[in-house]
Amino acid sequence: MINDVIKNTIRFLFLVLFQVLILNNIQLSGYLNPFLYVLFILMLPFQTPDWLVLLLSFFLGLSIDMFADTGGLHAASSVLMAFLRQPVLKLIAPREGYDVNQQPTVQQFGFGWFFTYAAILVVVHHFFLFFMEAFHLSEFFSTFFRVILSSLFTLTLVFISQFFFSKHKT
Amino acid sequence: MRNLILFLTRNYYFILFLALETFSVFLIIQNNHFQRAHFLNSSNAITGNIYEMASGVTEYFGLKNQNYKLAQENVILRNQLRNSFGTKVNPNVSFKDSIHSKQFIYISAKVVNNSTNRRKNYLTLNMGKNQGITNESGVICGEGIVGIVRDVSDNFSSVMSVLHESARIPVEIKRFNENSILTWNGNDELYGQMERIPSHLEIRKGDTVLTSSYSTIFPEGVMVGTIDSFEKVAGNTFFNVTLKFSTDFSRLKYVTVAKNLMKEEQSNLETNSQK
Repeated sequence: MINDVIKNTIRFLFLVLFQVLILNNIQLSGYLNPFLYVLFILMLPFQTPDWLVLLLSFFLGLSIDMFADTGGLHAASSVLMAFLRQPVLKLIAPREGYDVNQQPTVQQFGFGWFFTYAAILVVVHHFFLFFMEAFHLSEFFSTFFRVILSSLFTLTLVFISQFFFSKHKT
Repeated sequence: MRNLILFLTRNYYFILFLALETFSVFLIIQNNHFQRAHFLNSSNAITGNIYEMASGVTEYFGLKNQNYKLAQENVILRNQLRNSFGTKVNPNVSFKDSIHSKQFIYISAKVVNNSTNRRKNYLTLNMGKNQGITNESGVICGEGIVGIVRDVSDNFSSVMSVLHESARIPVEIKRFNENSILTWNGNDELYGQMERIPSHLEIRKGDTVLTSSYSTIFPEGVMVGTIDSFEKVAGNTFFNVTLKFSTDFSRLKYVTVAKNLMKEEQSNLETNSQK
């Protein structure tokens, strides 16, 4: 339990710094813009209380906003994503349910499960984020294109990161 | 009351979500206002310090900016160079005043627009009248010549590129001091043409071509390019020479405008004597 708190705190700090110092500087042709920090929300343990998921996501988004000067853009997207985490987890739960000791990782649930889980949440997050940012529908398809490309980029990074975290997860 | 509490506890998840989401959206909207909340932007102590630490590392990635500053410094130094001073008096006569007076002044400018794929190519620079740029000034860069200023507005200037059908620039082959006129036929951005080079000169591939002293626009001796190929015109005693530009026109970023301070004097004299 304490171990989980420490692990997640470190992950929180690392992802925020990685996002604002490295990923925010990547902007390939104005379309590709990965937001790997959502990995924190994806990887919170199953037994985290619902309200804590919401609050943590809110502060996660707010930290990114503070660096990027975007007001509450990332906070709003992250909170929405955190809110949908519970329903999505219920929707795709394996027959025997989740075990308290399990973590939502590729290693424990397989590629297909993790892909469904991550893809739904990341697309929701990016969709909300980019459309809130544009704040109008007049460039619907160009914004939509950005959502799709950035989601793919983020998901790629999320999967790559799974190999990094795998060593200290059993 | 009991029902309300029951309702709140049962739906706390959704209510908390709504509260956080509303607050976030409120922050977004507030952020769009001119006077925004100061506790949540990147100028506060934590974010400011982290950015500063990061900039210590990323300084190396800011070399572009450093290059710009170096270009500026080069201009200052170039302004002090001897070959930007024309001789004003006969140096054999002793004279109290300095024997040199400035002929060229250099101003650094950034290319904000550029084309190389048309037959008449122009560049736009981010410096204009207010920064002291005048019409008919030469534009050069570290690699070679770039063009001639054709129009100036208050803060921008339009430059006719060397890659322009009607550009005619007096040049000389360095090895023979042989003068010629550089033109561009509108095809390949890498190559220019020089006509009527006497065929008794033993020119070679790779010979350096510089701007000639006949030009009132460019300082003498600025790199233009190297001879790439030449062919003898049938029944004539001239070579037609193809020249490879030393300037990479498609990658121009910072250029130097050379302003000839004695140009008016020279052209006035020339028009007067040719009357």
